[in-house]
Amino acid sequence: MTTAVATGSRARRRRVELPPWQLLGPTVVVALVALAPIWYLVDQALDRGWGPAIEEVAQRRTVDLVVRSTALAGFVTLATVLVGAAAAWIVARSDLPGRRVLRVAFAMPLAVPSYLSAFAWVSWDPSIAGFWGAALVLVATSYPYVYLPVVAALGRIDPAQEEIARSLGWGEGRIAVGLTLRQARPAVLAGALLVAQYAYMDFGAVATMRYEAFTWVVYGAYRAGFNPTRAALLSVVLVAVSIVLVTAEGIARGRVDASRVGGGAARRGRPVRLGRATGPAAVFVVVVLGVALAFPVVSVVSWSLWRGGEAVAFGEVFSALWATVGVSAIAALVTAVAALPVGLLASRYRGWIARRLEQATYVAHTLPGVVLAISMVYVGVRLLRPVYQELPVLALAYVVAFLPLLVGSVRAAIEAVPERLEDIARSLGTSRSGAWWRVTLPAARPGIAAGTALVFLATMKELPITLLLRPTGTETLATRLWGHTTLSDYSAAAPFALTLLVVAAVPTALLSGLLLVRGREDGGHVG
Amino acid sequence: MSAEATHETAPVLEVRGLRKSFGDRCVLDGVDLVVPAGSITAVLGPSGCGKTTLLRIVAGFEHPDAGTVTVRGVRVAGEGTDVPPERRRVGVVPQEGALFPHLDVRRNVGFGLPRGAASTERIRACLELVGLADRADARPDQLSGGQQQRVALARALAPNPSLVVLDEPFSALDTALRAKVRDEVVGALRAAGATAVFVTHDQEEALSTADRVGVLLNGRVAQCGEPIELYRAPASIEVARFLGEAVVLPGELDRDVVRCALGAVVPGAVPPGASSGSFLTVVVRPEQIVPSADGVGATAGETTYFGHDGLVRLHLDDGTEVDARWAPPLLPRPGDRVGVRVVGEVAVYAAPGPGR
Amino acid sequence: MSHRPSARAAAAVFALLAAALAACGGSSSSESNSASATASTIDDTAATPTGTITVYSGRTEKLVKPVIDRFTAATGVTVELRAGDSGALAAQILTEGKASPADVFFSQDAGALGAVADAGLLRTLPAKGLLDVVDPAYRATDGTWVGTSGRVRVLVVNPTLAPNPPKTIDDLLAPAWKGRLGYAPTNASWQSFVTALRVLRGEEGAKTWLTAFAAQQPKAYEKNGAVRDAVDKGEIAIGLVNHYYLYEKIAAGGAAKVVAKNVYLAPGDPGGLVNVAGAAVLASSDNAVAAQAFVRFLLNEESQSYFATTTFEYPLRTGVPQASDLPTLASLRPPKIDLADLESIEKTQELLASVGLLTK
Repeated sequence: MTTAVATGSRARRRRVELPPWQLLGPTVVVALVALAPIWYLVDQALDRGWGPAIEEVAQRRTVDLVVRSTALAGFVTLATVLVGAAAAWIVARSDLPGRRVLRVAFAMPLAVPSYLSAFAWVSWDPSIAGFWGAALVLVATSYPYVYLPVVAALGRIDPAQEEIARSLGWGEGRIAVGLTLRQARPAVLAGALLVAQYAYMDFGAVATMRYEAFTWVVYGAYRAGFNPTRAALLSVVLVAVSIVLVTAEGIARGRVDASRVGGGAARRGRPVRLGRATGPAAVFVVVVLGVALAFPVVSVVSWSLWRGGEAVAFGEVFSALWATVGVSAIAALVTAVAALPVGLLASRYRGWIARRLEQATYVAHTLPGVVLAISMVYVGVRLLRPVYQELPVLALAYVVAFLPLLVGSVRAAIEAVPERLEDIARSLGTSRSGAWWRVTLPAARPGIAAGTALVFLATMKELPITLLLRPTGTETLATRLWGHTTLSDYSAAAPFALTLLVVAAVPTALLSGLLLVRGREDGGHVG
Repeated sequence: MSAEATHETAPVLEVRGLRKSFGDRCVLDGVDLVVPAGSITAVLGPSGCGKTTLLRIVAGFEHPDAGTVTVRGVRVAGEGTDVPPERRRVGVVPQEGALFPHLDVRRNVGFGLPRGAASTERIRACLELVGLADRADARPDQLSGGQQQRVALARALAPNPSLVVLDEPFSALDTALRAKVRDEVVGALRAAGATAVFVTHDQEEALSTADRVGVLLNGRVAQCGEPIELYRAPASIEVARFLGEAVVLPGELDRDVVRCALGAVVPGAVPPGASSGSFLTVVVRPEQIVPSADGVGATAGETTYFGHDGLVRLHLDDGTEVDARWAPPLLPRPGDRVGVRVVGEVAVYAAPGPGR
Repeated sequence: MSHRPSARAAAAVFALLAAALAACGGSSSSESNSASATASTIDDTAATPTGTITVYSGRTEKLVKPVIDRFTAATGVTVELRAGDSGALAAQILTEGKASPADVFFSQDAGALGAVADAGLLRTLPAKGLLDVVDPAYRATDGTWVGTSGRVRVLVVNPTLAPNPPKTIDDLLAPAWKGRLGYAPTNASWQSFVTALRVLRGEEGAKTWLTAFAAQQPKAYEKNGAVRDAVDKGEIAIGLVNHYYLYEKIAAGGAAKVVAKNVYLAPGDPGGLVNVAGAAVLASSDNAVAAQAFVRFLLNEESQSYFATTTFEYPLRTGVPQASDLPTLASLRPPKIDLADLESIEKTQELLASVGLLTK
């Protein structure tokens, strides 16, 4: 293995110069759009002036809420890192039978909306409500955010390192934790950030489990207190939390070189034999998939069995399906277009402006859906009235909500494409931006496609934004499902729930499949 | 002999006084290099000496702090000019091929060409040149390392560049394959009549392949010329040491010979200002030390075998230790008494001063 | 190709966009929250309603659709229905402000209507034939909204387990009922009741009662329906729900199968709160004639009977009878309270959370 060594001055050749006009312009526009909710929040929060605003925030209760939400987010992040990393290691490095199926199965809980899962659990046993119920549901629905990038990263690791470690006396377990997973640290960190933000902003699980967290109180301030100023103030606190999270992840990531190791063939390493650990590993698999996947699905199926003779409103199901798929596809495509310049900038340029622009797109991610929804109502009504409650504003709101998911994927995918390829393209007569278009982006296609599938999926499950901004008369599977469950009409909700799960499984499978291909694509030729 | 054809006397590449620092590390400190048309020039230097930086500046991916780069008479870098890489017409073949992974071989090679029938023909011709016309539809991950290098070369040659620069093009290959691929690549370059510069740290490669070799030491080109010239008459002791095994001995000029521990040796060129009695430094190549019945006495030490010859450490009677390179039948056993003398001319340099 | 121009140009773009946003942002904040005078009444009976109206409905589509279809059949006006949660819809209207596309706001509870009215976004409705068919207690004092149907808080009781059920909420605190009560903590009607309690007994009084109620260790259920079912099965003896849940169950399975019974609270007791669903017309509506016609339609006898028979709610149009088994509103003598005071449930939620009756 020769060229794993990167020569000193070339190791991290991200330019410190200013990015070119064609890249900076679109990125600035996207960042400003992503910051639109912040604009609304600040405007609304200061509605009554600075004095009352500070008074409102500086209450004991606010601190309590931050502590409660942080406790939940902290626990959930830790647990998802453990579950996600363990699942990824089992699939990528162990010899557990059925790994090929597990590879996709482990990603499937992404298809289950958190409100659905929470509802299934609390209907079965109401005493589960509270912190542990909320934590259970959040871990179950969000561990794939860690699992997916880690399994992709493990596919790219040079197995020679493990062999060398063994020759130096390290045991298998120590290697797994201290070496293999350690190498996947950037992937773990990226996933952990998403999970942490998700844990702060999820409403469905927290409300159903009646755990008094930020999102619930914010939601209450809107719909029970009709106090948008208070809601905005609390949201500003959430944004501050988000900034802390994003900065921390940036610092943690900065110390690890995210670029691919090894310039030659990345051959597959021999799977690690589990031996006596096969039993516990199998138990782990059953528990995780049972809790996260089997239980909600079985619950929904059992709802449909209560139907008796009532006919399924196929027409409604079909039109909701059509609307869901259509809207989600548009949202995913627009978000992808928006994420491309940001991801390109973030991966190819260092420097103050590039970092701030990338972080700007992440900042609004901790905001609960209802806050994003209300802020887009505000922006839409004032700036885009003609298309308010039409597809354009709805798509824009999804972009604001899900941009971070795609920017991360795009950045990681582009970082894996060596800059050298761009240099060569330039030597062959293409301009720098031409090289991005003809070489970098096409080479990064699988990663970008995976991110797009993720946004497609997230949009399908999305509720609060859709409820507030959908064109009047349009219903998605999620809004229909919600409508029926509020009436406790589970049997009527069931067809929509089932359809949603089945349809959501498609992009989820696609997602994990794309990452499977990616793992193989990097290593093909032999010496 | 290189094709310094009469119709093309102007050099393709001229580098003058190039300087480049990274932070406070000075990598290039006044590099001068001239590459004649149709020649293959090697830039030879130890790892980390800045040769890759030099290539990148020539290709346009780095900007020099000082100095100029001129390609085919047109200034492309330095003194206010900075022509971007896409307009320099300098082809690049990097260390590991770096083929575009999402394109097949044909599209890789045709990347720098416009669409059209003429291009299709050109692609075919270039692939034939490197002997891979039958793999045009393969994807990069289906090719071996050597094949990828050759496709990279075809890709660089396709748009008919003024110059092709290659960055340690063979170091990523197994030794067994290396020589073969090297020959194929050089053959393709010559058949195309291309002018090429490649950087390497492998002296054997540089000396055996290139028409001219520039030795890059301490940020400067210490010497540039034909391989045999460099080997026989290195411009300095550092160059001598770098370009192969060197036996360095003190000596004293005695009219037209130099007396040293190995006896009287004939200098190639005497440094100016030296006269009888001047102290000089003598550099002898191990293969110049041959067994001789009436030569200087020595006791043989350990031998290091290389298959085709061996390097034997000799302990001369006066205490000096030298290495001699002999063919296997001549290699002594440790402890044997041998006599040695020097054949051929040796390089001599002014001694650096008393008390070295 | 030097980089200086890029830096300057980028800075210019930043400055331009920031300035543009500041200009746009500055003018907007004061719009939605000033309580300016509501638009003057118009007489919708004089003109023929036409065109399209958008209805934001906090009541479910399943319930509202038949009424809408009949309205469209009768007047030819197209109705675009946007169903959602009453509170969320109110929040949306408040954020939309004067630019809201809504013409009619049909809310499940009065609080949401009150909030929107307070922001000055509603149009005063005409008295004749609209406001005056409803008892003043069940409409806004300034005429900006009108109740369309009412619901009463009751105790649903298992007669076997509770042969002598309590008649006041204070009686519920007796030791005999410890561990045998049920409620739905997140239910809007329960929270409205607690809000009414705060209004009628003051903050301290409400907190006292709630603390004592929490000490009774009541069982929490997701929804009122679950509470009712639990009473019917005998899991608990008494549940705090709305009156119609019992009748829903009877309608579904037949009276013979249902054990539970409704117990109405003593006159004036806070536990017997009557809350209403109601409708209003937005001042910014560009089709106020059709919008008012719709509200009028909700109050006509046919619609009112529909609510009475479909959901077993109390029709609020004077003269329209409720479903046969129900006691009349007049006989119940619910506590006197201005429904507009039920607006802020947020403080109620905080109070409930602090005594441990809301969150875990």
